[in-house]
Amino acid sequence: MPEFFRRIYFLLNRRRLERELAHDIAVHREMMSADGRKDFGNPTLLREQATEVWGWGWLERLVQDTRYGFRVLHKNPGFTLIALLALGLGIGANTALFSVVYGVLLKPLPYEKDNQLVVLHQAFQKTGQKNVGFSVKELQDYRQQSRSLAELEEYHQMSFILLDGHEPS
Amino acid sequence: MAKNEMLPGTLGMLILRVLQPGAMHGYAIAQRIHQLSNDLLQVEEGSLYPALQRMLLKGWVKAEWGVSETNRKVRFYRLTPAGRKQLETEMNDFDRVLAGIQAVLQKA
Repeated sequence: MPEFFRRIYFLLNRRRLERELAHDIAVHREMMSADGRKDFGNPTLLREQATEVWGWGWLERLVQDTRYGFRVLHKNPGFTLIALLALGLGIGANTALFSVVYGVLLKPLPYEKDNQLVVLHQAFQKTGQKNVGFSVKELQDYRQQSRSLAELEEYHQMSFILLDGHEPS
Repeated sequence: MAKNEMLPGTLGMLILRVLQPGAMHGYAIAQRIHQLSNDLLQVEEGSLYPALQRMLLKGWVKAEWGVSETNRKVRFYRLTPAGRKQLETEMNDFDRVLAGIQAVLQKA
């Protein structure tokens, strides 16, 4: 059994193994005092030094610290509420903002070769007019004469009033 | 060297060595090292038990329940085949290092 699995075994059985170790140390002391030797060391500290070798001290401490954290929160409900609200608002606002940024700026367009997509605008230099709409003739010119564009489509908006067969009054 | 001090890294080797003839409990290991070293070396629990735990983890020794000479239920530590190999390696390494140190001390 490789060391890694033994380490896991020690973690899973640590309560029993700690008891056995404590027992070993206790018997050690009994035998020492029977031999007339005194020892004033701290058995708990001793056991902790020995179990530290298992390499799970950080996990034990993490669990302890987390429990302590929850106890403190439990004792201060007002603080807990405010902290949760602040966190919730902070995270929520960020998520909402990111959703917008992602949708508008980052998300790739749902077209093939979307990085080759361009939007054309035309302007009349002489009159200084910008964003002049395309006429059908102009579209044909662009389609036939442009060497940069593979294809060209035009779209525009128009508004209508539906009359349902009646004249407006 | 002060009475209680031991060359760093050698405690593990000494423990493995005294366990070679047969299983022993913790206190007996400490006593045995003390006796065999002509009372020069003293193994404190503070270093013995961490060392034993490390060897259990490495798979060099196994702990099994037994009854001490004082009729107490206690765990005996037994060398595993991996432990025997480790002892051999450590003793060879130690001999080489010691030979090197002595050569320098004598020739310099």
